[in-house]
Amino acid sequence: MKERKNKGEKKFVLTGIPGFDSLFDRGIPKGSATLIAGGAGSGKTNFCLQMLAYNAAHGKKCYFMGFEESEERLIDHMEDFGWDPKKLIDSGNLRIKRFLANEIYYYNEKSNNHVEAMMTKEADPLLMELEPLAFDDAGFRPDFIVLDSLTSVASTFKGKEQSYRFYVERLFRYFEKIGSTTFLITETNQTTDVYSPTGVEEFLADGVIIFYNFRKENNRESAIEVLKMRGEKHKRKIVAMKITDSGIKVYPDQDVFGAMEI
Amino acid sequence: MIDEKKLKEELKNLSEDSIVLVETSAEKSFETSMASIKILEDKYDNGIILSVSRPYANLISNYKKNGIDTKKMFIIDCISKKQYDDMEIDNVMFLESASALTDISISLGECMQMTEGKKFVLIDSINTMLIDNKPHIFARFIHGILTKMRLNKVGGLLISLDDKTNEEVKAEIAQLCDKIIKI
Repeated sequence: MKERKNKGEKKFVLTGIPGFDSLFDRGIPKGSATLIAGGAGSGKTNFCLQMLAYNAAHGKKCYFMGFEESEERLIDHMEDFGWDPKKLIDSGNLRIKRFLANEIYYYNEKSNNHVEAMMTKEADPLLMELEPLAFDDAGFRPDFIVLDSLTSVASTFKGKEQSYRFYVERLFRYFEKIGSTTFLITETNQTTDVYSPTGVEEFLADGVIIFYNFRKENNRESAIEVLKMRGEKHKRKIVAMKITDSGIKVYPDQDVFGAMEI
Repeated sequence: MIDEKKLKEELKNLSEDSIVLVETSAEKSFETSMASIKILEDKYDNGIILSVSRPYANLISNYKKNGIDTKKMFIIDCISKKQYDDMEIDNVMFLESASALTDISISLGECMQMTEGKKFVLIDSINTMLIDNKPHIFARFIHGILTKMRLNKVGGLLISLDDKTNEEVKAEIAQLCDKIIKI
């Protein structure tokens, strides 16, 4: 139900978000890494939580790695939308864990593997250094990972941009290696042409999904766009989106009039 | 007073999926709207009213005064959302304002899908919508709405003030409508 195959056995996953999956021919390629970019309040985190709730409810292992909101608050958000997160957590299919943004950096320092030191090492051991972040218990191998957010991670590398770029490249390679379908949230301005902390991330990522919050007179209009998705055809259009009482709903054929005023 | 007989004659012979632009004066606009709904009520099972000029409570009160069955009307009210925040009332949906075109378009589309039987859409004031929206964007909006109505085989009536409507918008609407009636 959630996975589609094509003739070449390439697999695709669905988000279960009403209207969103029909923006693609088949879905999001399984094992891909996608940037979820947008301004504050545009629906990025809700989108990811809804997608995880849907897939966890369908038996997939889902992992939300947060650097911003607490586990309790995220669970509250999910309950507000009626997604029953506690049941999904109890089933072992959903895991929500909050990290301090510094942990990524200091974790490596403590283990004498800070980023500068990592840069001098061989590739494979470097990838191994990231493993405890995603797999903190034996046996939990996520099908889906959400990292909220890359912007928070970048903030710990302030003044060490080269280290950050190196780290991010490793992170993408690591996600590719473990085969999880990954969504990395990045915070941007409301209207921007750069969708990640350095701009490099959008080239490394397989996909880029942008969330908009256009101002039209005194109103805000939500919208979404699939800017890029390697290996899959998708609609090339900014389409309307609403955050309803039961979650995000996308309208694949609806023009966004607020976008026409810019 | 409007010429109700003329309005009835003009609307009577149209097919159920016809879309009509009614041009009238500011003074006759509300009376024209009421008379049109009264005529369309007999012809259709249900009506969807997009109101940008009168709030829900005022419309319901006037429908009752004019003997219109309020149960057959679903109102999309773009004026009085603040007064009814968090209240659940049957047959009405409150939207932020007449400038929330995307939301209005989505809501109209959903109402057309949800409403059963033969139905019509009435947009009570093209001119009021043009106060809140740039003409070229409004023209795109109307084009999209009328396309949805055509696809869903929904009849429609749009009320505008003669001589006061932006010429480009008027031309755009006119070419998409089946008939223009002057009252």
